[in-house]
Amino acid sequence: MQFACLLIDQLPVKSEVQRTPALAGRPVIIAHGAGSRRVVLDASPHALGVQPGMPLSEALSQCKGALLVEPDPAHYRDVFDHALDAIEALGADVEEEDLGHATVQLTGLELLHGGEQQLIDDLIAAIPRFLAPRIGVGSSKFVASVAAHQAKPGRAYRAPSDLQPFLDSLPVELLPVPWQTIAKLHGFGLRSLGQLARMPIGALQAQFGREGKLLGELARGIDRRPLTPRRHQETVTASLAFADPVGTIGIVLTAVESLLALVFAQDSMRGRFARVCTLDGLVFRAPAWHRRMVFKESLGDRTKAFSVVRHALENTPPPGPLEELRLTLSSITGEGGRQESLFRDVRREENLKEALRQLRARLGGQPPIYHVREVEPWSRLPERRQALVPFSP
Amino acid sequence: MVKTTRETPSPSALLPLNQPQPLRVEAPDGWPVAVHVPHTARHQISSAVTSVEDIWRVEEEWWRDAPIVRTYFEVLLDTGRRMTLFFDHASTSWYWQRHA
Repeated sequence: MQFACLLIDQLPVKSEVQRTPALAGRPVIIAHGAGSRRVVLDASPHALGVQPGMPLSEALSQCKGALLVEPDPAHYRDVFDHALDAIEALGADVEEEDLGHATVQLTGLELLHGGEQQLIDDLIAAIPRFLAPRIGVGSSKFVASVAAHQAKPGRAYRAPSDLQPFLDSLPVELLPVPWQTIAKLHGFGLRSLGQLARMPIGALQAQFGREGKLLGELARGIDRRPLTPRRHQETVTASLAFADPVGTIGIVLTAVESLLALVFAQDSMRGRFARVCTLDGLVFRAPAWHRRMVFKESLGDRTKAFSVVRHALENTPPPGPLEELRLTLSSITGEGGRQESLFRDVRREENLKEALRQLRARLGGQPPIYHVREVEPWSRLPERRQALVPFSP
Repeated sequence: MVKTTRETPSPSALLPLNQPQPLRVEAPDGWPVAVHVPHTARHQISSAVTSVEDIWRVEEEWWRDAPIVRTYFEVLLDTGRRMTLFFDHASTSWYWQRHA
């Protein structure tokens, strides 16, 4: 099985430079966070001495002439998604590891493209040139990822067939494990994959548990992790740019109404319904704004959708004047409603499940809804008799 | 006879309920005469105990290093409110148990 790893360094900066060519060749810093806790998200190679994760104040003192750019995560995601869509259009299965990092399965596609080398060339050609991806080719996901780190921007690097000498000198930071594990490995004096490969897997398992086995195997070039292709989510998008930054909620709402009219008029939405509406805005001299709204039920009508969005925006308007606004409908379905159960109890249970599912989607986790459960009802200590258990019907 | 569900919920999934709340109680000779019930974060309402309606003692987990020994008092306050208090002999503190 052959895999290719796609690695795009400095994706945020490259996306910003592509959008605003005047930034090319200049020191650019993209910072995120709020107030005094702002840290560098990404920096161009011209911003000397500036590293991602560095406090912004320190970065600006290192590079006094740097241009500070507010982050636009939705745009970076779009750029990366388009690159992955282009690879998928070649017929490949793609697994997204992180923003700017993905794995592609090559096996089975060589014949379509006239050999593996031609396939890799097609892969590089499919990705926009300004992203200058580094491509690594190897027999597993990890080996491909390590090879990508050895590749030059815009070029491919194939891992040698004799893996161990290739891996031995490389740092443990390349392992796909949390930084806490890397710090722990450093604590044991293990800094290279070679040092790690010489450790018995049993000892690693004793220290790191299940992760220890993975560490030992990866350091030996064994990677049994399968490729999990990304799930394609159908979305419909419309956007508009304001001539001047708009801070009045009335104008923003009018813009939203016209964007909803545009998206619902598209052919792909004809006779279909959307469950989620997302608004992304570029805010004047402030970080980008993102708002996700989950409809109570799938909506196929722009008037109903607008009343939900208006209600949400009137309660929490955008944080500042908007320069651009983009509206995306997702979770698109052909179903307009649900068949309700004939029986009252079942209906009640279904309503509860639905309410909980919506809360989970809105809060991005388990909602704080509990039910009282008897734990030790016989206890003489009252506080031990009942407890609150997360509600899951 | 209490019916048991035989299910063991995960400890992390459980949130305690009816936890005793520390309370300032004036109790010369161990007998409650006045309580200071928290009203807001900073203020308390002081009430005199008009009568002790019931009293009972709970001793649990006597086999452990720190056994639980409590003396419960069901008291009637001058405001007409009924409260269940207990004196914890291990911490020598007073607590309020909302549902005893």
